Amino acid sequence: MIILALERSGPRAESRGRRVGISNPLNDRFFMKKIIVLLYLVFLTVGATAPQLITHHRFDSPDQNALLHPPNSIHWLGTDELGRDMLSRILYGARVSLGCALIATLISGLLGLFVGGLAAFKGGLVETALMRLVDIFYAIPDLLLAILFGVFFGTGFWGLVLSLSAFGWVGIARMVRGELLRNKTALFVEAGQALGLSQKRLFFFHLLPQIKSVFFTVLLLKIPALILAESTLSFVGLGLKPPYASWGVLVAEGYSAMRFYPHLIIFPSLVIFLTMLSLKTLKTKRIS
Amino acid sequence: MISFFVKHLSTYLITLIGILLLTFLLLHVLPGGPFDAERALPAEIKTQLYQKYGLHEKGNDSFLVWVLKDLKSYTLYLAHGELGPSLKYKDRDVGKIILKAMGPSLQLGFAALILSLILGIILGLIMVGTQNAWLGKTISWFNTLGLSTPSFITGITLILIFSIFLRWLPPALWEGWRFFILPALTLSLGPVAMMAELTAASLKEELKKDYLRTALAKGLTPKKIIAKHALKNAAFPMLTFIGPLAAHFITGSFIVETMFAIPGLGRHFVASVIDRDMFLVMGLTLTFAVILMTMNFLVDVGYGFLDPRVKKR
Repeated sequence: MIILALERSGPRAESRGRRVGISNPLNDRFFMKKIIVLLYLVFLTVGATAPQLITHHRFDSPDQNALLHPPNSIHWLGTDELGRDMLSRILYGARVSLGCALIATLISGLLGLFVGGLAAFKGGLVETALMRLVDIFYAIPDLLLAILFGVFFGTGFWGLVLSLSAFGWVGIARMVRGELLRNKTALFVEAGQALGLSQKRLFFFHLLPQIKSVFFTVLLLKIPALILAESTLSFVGLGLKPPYASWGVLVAEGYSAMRFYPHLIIFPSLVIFLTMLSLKTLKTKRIS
Repeated sequence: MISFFVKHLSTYLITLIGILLLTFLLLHVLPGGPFDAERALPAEIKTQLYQKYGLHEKGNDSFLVWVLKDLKSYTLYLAHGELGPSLKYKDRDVGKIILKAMGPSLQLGFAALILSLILGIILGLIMVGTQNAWLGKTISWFNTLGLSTPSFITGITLILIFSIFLRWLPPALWEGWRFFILPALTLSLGPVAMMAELTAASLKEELKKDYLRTALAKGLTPKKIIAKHALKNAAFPMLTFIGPLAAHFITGSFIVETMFAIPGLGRHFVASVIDRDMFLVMGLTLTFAVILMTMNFLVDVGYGFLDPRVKKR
């Protein structure tokens, strides 16, 4: 078997099997996968920003006549124990879950860029101190940090965002500094110095653009991680207070009624799973 | 070798002190105190309580003075070799609480770690070696599934299938080996997938190298090539992953423990912060940080074993 593996990875493998010309996109499974994923994400975004386009039920209006209904033609995904429509609750939940994750990713990205960049730019004592700080944050379990900050900032939307950002920046700062240091030894830096560029100009106009692609890849990976963190926080009871709900809150609510009303847990779980899956699929590259 | 240990230990010690200081500071920034229960206590009783535990009310002190006062009494506890009393559980020592809860947590985490290493590496090997397209595809699907499912959803699915519909395994509690299976699986599904991907990727990268072609040409059997040469070199990126893996088992075990009602460390996690049980939070942070750092240290030592070049540095 291993001989074959060796064969497959040999130099001939690259030139073989690559078709030339434009093929029918409907036959291109990789392409279609991305299209489906994109459609799903667009649907979620529309649902999160304008839920009234998709469902006319409100997320917080109880209906005494429709308690705990399984999925039916009126309530597509059923209702919860107060008779609230699950579909609209999931769509409103998307607003919180996706919104939180996106804003927290932005904040963590900026903070990480600042700290990592400053460390790489200044060097010396500043770098040591900043990186020690990063190490400290790295060694405290994420969840404990999030809980501590969550209790401090409160359980509103912005409290969630801030407590997610409180640990999201650490990994990014590490990565930014590492990438910058790796690029610092490159020839173009030496050339810039020889040309007499100032340190600042060299850093901001030449060194920083180098890490662009790695930075955005890491940022894209951060979004599902933070969606997960948000739903975990909500699942343990540090999320939003009723009637507002995020996906994690919905899962937590469904968890207690799982035995008898499985639709309450299956749909929110499914949405979280599909979203994580889509975001991961979106960033995969074509393997030739 | 000795300088290697000293250098690492001193770095860890500084980081550890930093962690403790940061947590202590954060705990003091939080509004509310440990004795603000549902029922308001008379002021005199509260003062007595604070005094009993060697803590202080903020009063007229400035923030820094207040923190330093409390820090002094915590350092005194530590100097006596104890982690302080619990403020919530009457007459119980934090050290004892942690020691008692550590058993289930460590068992679970260790089982999950072993499971994800063994299963992950086996799956990765199959992915590289198999000629059966369906098998490869199935594993690849399993990996995607494992990587994008949050652990609480994995847990819910497993409970739904194995304990509610099939009634094979108990859904919660901790009373024997049958209670062990679902939480360990829940905890390790993601890491197994990650490990499999990592093994496959680094092994494929390794197989491209010339020295393996040479090994094959000089007549070594493929099994020997993989076991003796390729896997050893491919283990490098895998080893790097073990540090974060330990962290995952620490934070992940918290969700899993809550979910399966396991009497481990995890359940104290949220409760202690919400109760402002200061010494318990500090003790937990200390425990987790020490476990994490020990893992990182072992990984560093492991590098030296795998690659003698690292040891020289």
